[in-house]
Amino acid sequence: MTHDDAIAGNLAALGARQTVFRDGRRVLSNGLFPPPLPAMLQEIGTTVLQRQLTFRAGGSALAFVVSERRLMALVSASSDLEEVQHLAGEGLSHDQPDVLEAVAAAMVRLAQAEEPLTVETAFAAPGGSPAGLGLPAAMLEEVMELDPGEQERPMEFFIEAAAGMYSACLLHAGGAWLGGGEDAAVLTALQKIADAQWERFQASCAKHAALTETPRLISLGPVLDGGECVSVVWADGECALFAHGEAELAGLHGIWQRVFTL
Amino acid sequence: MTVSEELDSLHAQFPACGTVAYADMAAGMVLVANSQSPLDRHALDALCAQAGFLLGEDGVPPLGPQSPGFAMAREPGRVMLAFKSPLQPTDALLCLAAPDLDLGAFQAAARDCLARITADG
Repeated sequence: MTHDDAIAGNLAALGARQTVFRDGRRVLSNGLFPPPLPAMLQEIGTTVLQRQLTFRAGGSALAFVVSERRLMALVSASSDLEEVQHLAGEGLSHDQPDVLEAVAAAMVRLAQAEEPLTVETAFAAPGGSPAGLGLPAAMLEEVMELDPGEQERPMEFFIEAAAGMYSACLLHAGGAWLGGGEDAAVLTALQKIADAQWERFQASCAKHAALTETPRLISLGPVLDGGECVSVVWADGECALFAHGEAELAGLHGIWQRVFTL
Repeated sequence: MTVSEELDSLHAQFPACGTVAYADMAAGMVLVANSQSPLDRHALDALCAQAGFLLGEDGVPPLGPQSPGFAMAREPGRVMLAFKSPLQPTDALLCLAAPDLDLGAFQAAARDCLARITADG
């Protein structure tokens, strides 16, 4: 990734940020989406001026001094993150592979808590940051084997996460409908909806809400000949139709809540 | 119980549902809302219009070959639910709730509430 690409990526990330606070801390991930580890790295990658960032998930916490998109020092770590206890209060340098790996391992464990991931940003104590070369966010990505170019779309994530709950799905992206699911007959029924009713439905929905601004889910049921319900999801300029049983309604809405809200 | 008492009772059972309204979809208007609903008449009319479209009250199923018996619209921060009465298809129960509403339990309770109201009506 070039320097310009990195800046463009960071500006896009800042612009798209949905700001939600919980107990005075900014929520980066609900534990499922956005994926917590890239969210944490993105926070480091967008911190240029020296700040103290404290990441928390469940009972685990990591506090770093961050500057110029690098982890400069580990301020403290909760006692469950044993791998970095010896680094608390120390400066961090990327020329020490064991330090890089220990910090990466602790961050991975924090991100695996499946609890809401929050961050607190504060001014770093003046002169309180021990000297070190720092650990660049890009280097942490490499150690964690994350692809910085791979940013999962929320709709794609939702379709995968809800896969066991629908019998057919039609995704409208890039001007075309793409079908998926196990039931070919239901998929055909969805395709008929897309061909004959979608434009009117979309236009009518737009009268009641700005569809492109916030993610939305509408469920109607039962509307198909086999007694199945149809749900529609809009997010990030994409939309998708799902056919599902009435019994799956609460589960589908639960997954939507976890993917599309912090 | 009166319609108003039924709506208040459902609201008391599910405080996350701030508005419970009984509507005549043919007339396109809310007849009664729970006494603690924060919505004014204009907002209740907007709720009714949205529900009417989703329930196919203009005689045209919104999606699929059949008009739905219920509709749910969710966005960050709120969920709207509309239930059509099986006995009086022009009557409906409209609800506006916080996202932490227990959907499964609420759906069953709302349908029972609507059945009692239309049976008494």
